[in-house]
Amino acid sequence: MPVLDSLDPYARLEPVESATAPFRYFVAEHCLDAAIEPVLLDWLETGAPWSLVETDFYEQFEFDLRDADLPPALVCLVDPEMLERLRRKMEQALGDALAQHVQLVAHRLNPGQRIAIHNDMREGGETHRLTVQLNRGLTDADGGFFMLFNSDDAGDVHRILRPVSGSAIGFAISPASHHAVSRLHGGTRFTLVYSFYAQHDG
Amino acid sequence: MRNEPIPLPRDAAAPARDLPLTDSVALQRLIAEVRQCDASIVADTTLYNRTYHRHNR
Repeated sequence: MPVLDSLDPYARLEPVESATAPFRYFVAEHCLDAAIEPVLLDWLETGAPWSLVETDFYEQFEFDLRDADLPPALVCLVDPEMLERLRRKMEQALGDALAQHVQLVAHRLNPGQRIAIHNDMREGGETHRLTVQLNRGLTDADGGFFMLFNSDDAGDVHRILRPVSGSAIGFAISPASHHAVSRLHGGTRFTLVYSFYAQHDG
Repeated sequence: MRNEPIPLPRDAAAPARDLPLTDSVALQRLIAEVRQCDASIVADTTLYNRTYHRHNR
């Protein structure tokens, strides 16, 4: 689709590696359009309608991009054709048929905030997730690592990924999809979270 | 908490996207940061069946 390519912020999204254990996931790098990323960061830092959400296992700022008054340059992030294209990329990467409905939420972690180990599993809820990292360049001392686990034991670490801006992790939500975000000690860590639903026959 | 060794990406050729933790103190600190706080209900596996805030539109 050459016409859409010029507007697709995720035209470069391709898995650089895939895994089936401890749960099905893939990793992508430099997946967000280079022209969109700085505009998005500027808006997330200065114009986005953040709301603080506090629970017993995480505290962060969030908002739903579908409800936001997006700058013209960022409308492509919620464009139905782009979401459809992204949905097909997720299907291809993880091998599951997905329904048309796609959600998009932005997350922001400030220093001191973290997300404890959890699996995103919710009966009747979303079934697949794509999380895209956005930041001004976090160092290892800043924390905010995306941690993947072999079990529900936080000590049973599978892998620890740096929150490199423009990188992404896609995964199939299951009872085994345990992950977390370590405490942020410096900088600001933004994430775009796309949620998908498995296609059910009938 | 398990007693088995923690599997880590220790390979020197590990890609830059991975944090190659060889410092067990740093690793234990990260693990402590992401533990569920309520140890009294840690046996309840549904404790982990969580997702982020539900956005009602």
